[in-house]
Parts: sequence; C-alpha cells; structure tokens
Amino acid sequence: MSPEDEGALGTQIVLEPELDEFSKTDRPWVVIVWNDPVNLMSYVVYVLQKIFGYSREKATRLMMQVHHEGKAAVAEGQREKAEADVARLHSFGLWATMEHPG
Amino acid sequence: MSETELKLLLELPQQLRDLYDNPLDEAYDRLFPRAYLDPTEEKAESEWQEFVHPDLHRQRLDALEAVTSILNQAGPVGRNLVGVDLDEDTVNALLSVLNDARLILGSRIGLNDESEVRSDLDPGLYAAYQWLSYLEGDLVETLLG
Repeated sequence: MSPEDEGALGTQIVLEPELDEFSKTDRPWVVIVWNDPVNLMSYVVYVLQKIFGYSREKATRLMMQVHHEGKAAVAEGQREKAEADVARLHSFGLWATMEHPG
Repeated sequence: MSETELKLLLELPQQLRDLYDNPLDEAYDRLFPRAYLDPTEEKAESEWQEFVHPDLHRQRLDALEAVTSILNQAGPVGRNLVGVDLDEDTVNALLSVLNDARLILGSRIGLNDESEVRSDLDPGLYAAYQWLSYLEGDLVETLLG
C-alpha cells in the first residue's frame, strides 16, 4: 500500500488494493460437512469431537444437522485454517468443502 | 471374530491400496475430494491438493500397514475365535481402513442419497458392507465410551 502518485498539490495519494482481492483474502470461510449415506452417525460425532474438541452435545447437534439438512457449517476461520480443517476432515473420510458464508 | 472374518479383513488392505493408485476409479474422488466447490477458486484448489493429497495418501498407506501388521498377530481367544489387542494408534488405523472400505463398497453397491441400501444389488458386496458397518459401529461406540 505504498503511495503511487503525488497529487498536484504534493499530497500523497494512497491507492487501495483491489477491493475484490482484498475481501477474498480476508473474508472468513466456513467449513461445510456434507451428508453421505455411508458415514455412520456415531462416526461423524466421533470425528467432530476428535478434530474440533466439540462437546458430545455440539458434535451430535451438528451431525443431526448434516443428516437432516444435507450439510452443516462445522467451523469457520481464515482461509488457511479452513483448508487445514477440510484436510483433516478428509483424512477421516468425511466429505467437506469450504466456502464464504451467506 | 472368526477366522473367516479375519481373512476378509486381511484382504482389505490390498484392495484399498489398488484404489489409492487408481484416480480414474469413481470411488477415488470420494476418498480424495475437492476442498473448494467454487470454480473461481481453481488455483487455490490445485495448490491445496498438491499440498494435502500426498499426505492423505501416505496416512492411508500407513494405516493399511498398521492394520495388516496387527491382524497378522491375531491369536486365538476362545473357541474358533481370534482376536487382536488394539492400542490407540492401531484403533485409529483400523477405523480408517474400515471407513475407507465402506466408502468404496458404498460406491460399488450404488448407494445413493437415501440412507437405505438397496439390497437387490450384488448380495456379496452388500453383505460385506453390512458386516463392515457393524464392525465399525462397534469400534466407534467403544471409542465414544
């Protein structure tokens, strides 16, 4: 964000980075777990507890949401964290993706 | 478990190994899925895959080795039964192998979005799937404690 131009009066004009790029880098991501017919409900609960340290209640609630609604947001954060979360979920055979919320 | 069941379990690692090496298999995508669904994130997706998939492969191969090793140590635990002693690492390895096997079998027997399995499909595969599900369910219940 260094000044690119000096205006006519000698003032410095700071050019903002592209708003789109900026928001893409910094906007939070949510990690979505998708329902699939193979994974046991108990297994999904186990994995959510193991990866995120959620209580049994929270893990069960999220699992039920996946089960009934087809998907659930199980975590959120910056891109790198979301990518790591997705990788961990995949290592347990869950189907997960990441996206911007809303 | 019975000797027959042990034999079945011992066959899993090679079958899984074959799949891990075969990206063209339709079940492969289920084991190594995408992280991004957004098509504008292709660059992030390929970077992520480059970074993550080799580790995922390695983890899975390690789990196969651990499971093969522990199963080969199975000893008799009663009339016609064999058993294995599992520690935390081998439990997790076994869980991973069982789950992968079920994911692949699920894909083979054409499991669709419904949670009911069509029993008119290949009965041998279906039976194997049910049995592995029972085994995995048991293991998870033990872990959930």
